[in-house]
Amino acid sequence: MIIQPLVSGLAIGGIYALLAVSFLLTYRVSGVLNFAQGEFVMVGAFVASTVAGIAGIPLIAAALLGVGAAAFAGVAMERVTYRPLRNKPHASMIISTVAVGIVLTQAAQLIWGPNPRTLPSLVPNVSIDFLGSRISTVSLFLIVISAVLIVALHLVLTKTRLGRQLEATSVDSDTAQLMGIRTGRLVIIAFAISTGLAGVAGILVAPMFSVTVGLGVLIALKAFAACVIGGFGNLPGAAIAAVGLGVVENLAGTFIGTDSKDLIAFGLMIAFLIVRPQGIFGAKVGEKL
Amino acid sequence: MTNILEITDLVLSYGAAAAVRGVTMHVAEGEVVTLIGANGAGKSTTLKGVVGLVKPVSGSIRFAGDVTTTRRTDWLARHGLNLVPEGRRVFAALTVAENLDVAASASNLHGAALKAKIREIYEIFPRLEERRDSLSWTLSGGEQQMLAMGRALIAQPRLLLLDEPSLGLSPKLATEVVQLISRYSRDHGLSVLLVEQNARLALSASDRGYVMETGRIVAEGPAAELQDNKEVRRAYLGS
Repeated sequence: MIIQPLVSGLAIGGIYALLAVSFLLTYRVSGVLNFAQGEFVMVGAFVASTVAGIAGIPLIAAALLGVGAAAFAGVAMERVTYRPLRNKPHASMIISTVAVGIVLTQAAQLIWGPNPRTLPSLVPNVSIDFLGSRISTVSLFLIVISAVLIVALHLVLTKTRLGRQLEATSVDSDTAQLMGIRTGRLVIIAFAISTGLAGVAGILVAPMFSVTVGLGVLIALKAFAACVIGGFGNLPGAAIAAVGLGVVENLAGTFIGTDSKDLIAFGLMIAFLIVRPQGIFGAKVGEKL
Repeated sequence: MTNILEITDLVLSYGAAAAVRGVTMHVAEGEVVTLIGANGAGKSTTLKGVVGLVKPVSGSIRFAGDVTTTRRTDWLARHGLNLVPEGRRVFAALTVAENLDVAASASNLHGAALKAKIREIYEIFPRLEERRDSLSWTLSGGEQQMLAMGRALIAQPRLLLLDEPSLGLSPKLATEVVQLISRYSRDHGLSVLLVEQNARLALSASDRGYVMETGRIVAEGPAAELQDNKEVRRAYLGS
C-alpha cells in the first residue's frame, strides 16, 4: 500500500531535485536567482514534442534536441539579460528573470498555440510487481535518470578542475580572475548546464502530464521550496530536501487527499522560513557547491 | 635593463573619489620594488589598477611593453601578471591542493609538468604539503599567506604583485615571508612589486622603493637611500 505512493513520490521528488540543483548552480556561480527556471522546463518539453512529431525522428533524438534547446535558450538569456545587468542593483536582475519567464511563456503560446501537446515517455509504461505493489517503469526511469544526473553533476563540481573553477567563481569572482579563470565563460557554462537540466526535467515530466506553457511553473516553485528547506547553500542538501518534499507531498496526497499536496509543500517552506531560515543543512562557513 | 612594468600618470577612482591621482612608476626586469605608504594612500588601488580589477580613468600601464588596459584580469593572469591580494583570499571551501589546482588555470601546465611545479611549491612551503588535504579556511594566517603565494607562483609569473603579505602575521613570520620573496626573486629572476605598511621590513628586502601619500608618489629611490631619508624615517619608520 505504501510502496506505490512512495515510488511516485521519489519520482516527482527526483524532478524537483533536478530543478533545485539547476536553481542553485546559477544562483551560486552568477549570484542570480533565476525565476525563469520553470519556463526552461516547458521549452525543453515543447521542442522535444514538436521534433518527436516529425516522422522518422527517434524519440531519443527529439529528447536530446529539447535539452539542447533549453540549454541554448539559457545561454541566450545570459547574453541578453544577465550580462548587461550583472553590475546593476540585485532587484533589477531578479525582475529581469521574471520578465524572461513571461517572454518565454508568451513566445511558446504564439509558437505552439493554446492546445496541450503530448510527449511519449522514453521507456514503455509497464506496471511491474514490486514487493506486492504495482509500480510503473516510467517512475523508475525518472528516479534513475534524476539520480544519475545529480550525482554526475556533484562529481563534476567536486572532483574536477571545472568544478573548482565554478566554486572559485561563485565565492570570489575577483580572486578567481586573478587565478586566470575565465569567469565570464564559466557563468555561461553554469547557465547552459542549469537550463539544460531544466530541459531534462521537462522531458521526463511531460509524459506524466501534457505539454502546456504552464508545465514548469509549479515544479519550479516546489524546487524553490526545496532549496529553502534544504538550505540555500549546498547542492546535495537541496537535492535531498527536494526528494523528501516529493515523497512527503505524495504520501499526503494518498493518505490525506490530493488537495493537500501543495498545501503541505508550501506550508513546510513557510515553516522553515520562520523557524529555521538556514534550512536543514544550514549555511556554515566553508560551504561547497 | 628593460622595464617589465611601466605606469604613467595613472588615475584611478571609485565612483567620484579619486584614490590614485597621477602615479608614475616602473619595475625593471628582475627587480624587487616596494610601494610604501599609510593606510588609504592608494597602494592597493594601484595594484588593482595594474591587474585590471579597477579600470583607469586616465594614464597608461604597460606590462612587458604592451598596454594592459584593454585586457581582462584573467587574461593578464594567464600571461604572467599575478597578484596576491590583500587578506590572502584563499578559497575557503577548497583544500590546499584544490586551491593550487584551481590556480594552475593561469598556467599552461598539465600532467607531469604541473606535478613538478606543485612539487616545487611544496618544497618552498613544506607546511603546505603537510596540510594539503585540509580545507583552507582551517589554515592559520601564516599558512594561508603561504598558500596565497603558492597559488601565485604556480601561475609562473613574470611580475608578481603582493598586497600586504605581512598583514596579520607575527613579526617573525612577516620577516620570513618578505625575505622569502626577495630570495625567490634573486634565484629565479622574478620581478616583484610589493605593497607594505611595514616600511622598514619592505625596504630591507627591496632594490628600490616608492612612497605614496594620498594618491600621489611623494618620494622614490634606491631602498637604502629611502631608509636614510629623514622625511621617510619620520613618517614611516618611526624614528
